[in-house]
Amino acid sequence: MTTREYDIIIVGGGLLGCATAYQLAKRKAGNILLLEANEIASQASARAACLLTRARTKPALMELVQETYDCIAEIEQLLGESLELQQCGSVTIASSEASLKEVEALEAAAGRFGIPNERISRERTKELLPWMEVSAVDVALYMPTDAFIDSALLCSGYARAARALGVELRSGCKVKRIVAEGDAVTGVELADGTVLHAPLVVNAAGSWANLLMRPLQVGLPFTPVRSHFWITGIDKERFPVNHPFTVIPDARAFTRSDVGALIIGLRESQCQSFDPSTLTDKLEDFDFNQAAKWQVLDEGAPLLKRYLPDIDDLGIAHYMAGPSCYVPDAKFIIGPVKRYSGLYTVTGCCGGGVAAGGGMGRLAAELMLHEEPFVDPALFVPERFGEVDPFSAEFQKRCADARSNKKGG
Amino acid sequence: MKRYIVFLKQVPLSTKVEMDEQTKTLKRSSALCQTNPDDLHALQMAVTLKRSTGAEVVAVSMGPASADAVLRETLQRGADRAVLLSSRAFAGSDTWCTSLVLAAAVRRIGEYDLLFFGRMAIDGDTAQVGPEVAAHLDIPQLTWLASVDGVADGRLRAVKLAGRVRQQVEVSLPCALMVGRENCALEAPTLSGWRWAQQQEVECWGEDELGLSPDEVGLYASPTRVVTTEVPQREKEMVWLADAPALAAVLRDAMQFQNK
Repeated sequence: MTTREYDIIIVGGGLLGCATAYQLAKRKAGNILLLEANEIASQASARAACLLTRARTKPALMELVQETYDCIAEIEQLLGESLELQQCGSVTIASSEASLKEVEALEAAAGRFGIPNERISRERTKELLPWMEVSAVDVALYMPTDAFIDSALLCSGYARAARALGVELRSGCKVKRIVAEGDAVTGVELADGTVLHAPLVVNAAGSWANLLMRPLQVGLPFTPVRSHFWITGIDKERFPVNHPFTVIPDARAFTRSDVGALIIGLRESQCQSFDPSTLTDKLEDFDFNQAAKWQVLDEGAPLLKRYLPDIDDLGIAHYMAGPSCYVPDAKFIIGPVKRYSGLYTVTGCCGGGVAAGGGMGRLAAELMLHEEPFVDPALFVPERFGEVDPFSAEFQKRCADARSNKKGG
Repeated sequence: MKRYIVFLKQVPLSTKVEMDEQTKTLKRSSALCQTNPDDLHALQMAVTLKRSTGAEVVAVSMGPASADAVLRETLQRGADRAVLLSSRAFAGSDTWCTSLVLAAAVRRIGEYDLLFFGRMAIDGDTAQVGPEVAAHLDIPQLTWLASVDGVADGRLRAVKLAGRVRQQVEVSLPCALMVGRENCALEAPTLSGWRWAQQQEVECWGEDELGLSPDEVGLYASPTRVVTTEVPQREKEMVWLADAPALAAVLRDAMQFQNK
């Protein structure tokens, strides 16, 4: 058994772990090690729909997303290469009184934050979205500066930028447990028995984060909930490359272009949560319930049909399911874990890890380094629900309901 | 009546597959499953050909009850009828016994023009079952298929590969085709196809329906004996190349080696 000293150890090489590593390195936080059990950017971060929606009804969230955009520009400069941000714009569609109110709230928030936006006519909507049946569209809000990005490429960008700034990255390195003495963490023990010491440990292990917390008798208030999307066959005339992504609250749906195909994301009325203790080491071995591929599409198709009338007969070439870590209030979990000094967490992406990851990493870094936080950290305090048992079915349902009841796409 | 029979196998989705230490066979219940990729291309070829010939496409899978999912997928993708061959007596069958069962199923189905097999299953990697079924039925078999040009006048016209040579061949029907993923592109399935598939009956046949004795099939009737299984340990020699000339030298040596 060997030991080595670090200033900070980050567990998890997904978007949030890598973004935190980058933000810490940027602040010259010392000798930093990032550990990933699989390959960097290979798990949930490679299964995301990748939308970078700027306008949110919560101001803090807009700050976090803006930070992601800023990170992308910084990293591209640092690495001297493009992260292939696709500035395609977005269109949010309202077809009911309820969704109109949501659009109005977004419009107001975007206006306050200086995000370009305009209501567009049905004709303009049809120009931007040739596949859409626009007769069902009451209001369409166009935000031309919204973008999407390959989440694995973004994650890899954070990781490579962190490495360029001195962070040591180790993939294929599974952490067995977080080591604590008394009420302070002292490092981590790897699966092979090696102990690595650090006074600060960041649990950014995503869906697996509660498995690491369990021996410490800490429950983080989230559980993995299935997110999924479908990809049609390629039809570049109908689904032009990089046409705007859409958010359609009345269909519980979003769409996005994908090299001439259409990605369709649907949220079922009762979302599926998973007990963290059932997770496999690799998501490729995890059963997200393949039958859901068609069952959920079958459930969602009647709502989407108003906008995509031939959804029943559209060829579906691919299906992608992955875990989003949902919190009962649909807000992230960022900050110190009060029970143990030196233990931090950045998790609970609530389906927004790609868009907000850069900001989440920044806030985590600022809290660890006792800098003035750029957004109010009280929103994201890990203990805000009191003691929770993330392994209980009741709590898992609360988390799944947060996704089921989500507004917007 | 024209009829095409397509054979499909349920295989593990993941590379993480457990072995049964007693029988040295795959523990199929331990893994997430999918339809063998080559078999889907065999189905696609049958369904595409059906559009010009009007043939009935019958999909057949041998396996546990979970293989019903494979057959529902075939119905969704254009098969007209689906048959599951399932019995405890079939468990542990090697390629020889499997081909006996499949050949018995073909006889029970009745007249046919073409049998379609995927070239190889990704779990066993033997590429034996299709050719063995053709041998049991005493019909021609077409391996190393490059393309199918058409079916007319009781004959199939196709191109097959023989090393670097492409052979144009005509084969009398009935015959068996071994299809690879390069032979045709898959069409994307639809939701309406899925809905239809859920409403169809999947027939289930065991050894009685096929007129087979339990002594003829299954683990103990299989002539193959797996003595041991192990994961090969690859030891790769790695050399860091310092610059472009070093890389060029390696490529030159490799090309010279290939041209020898």
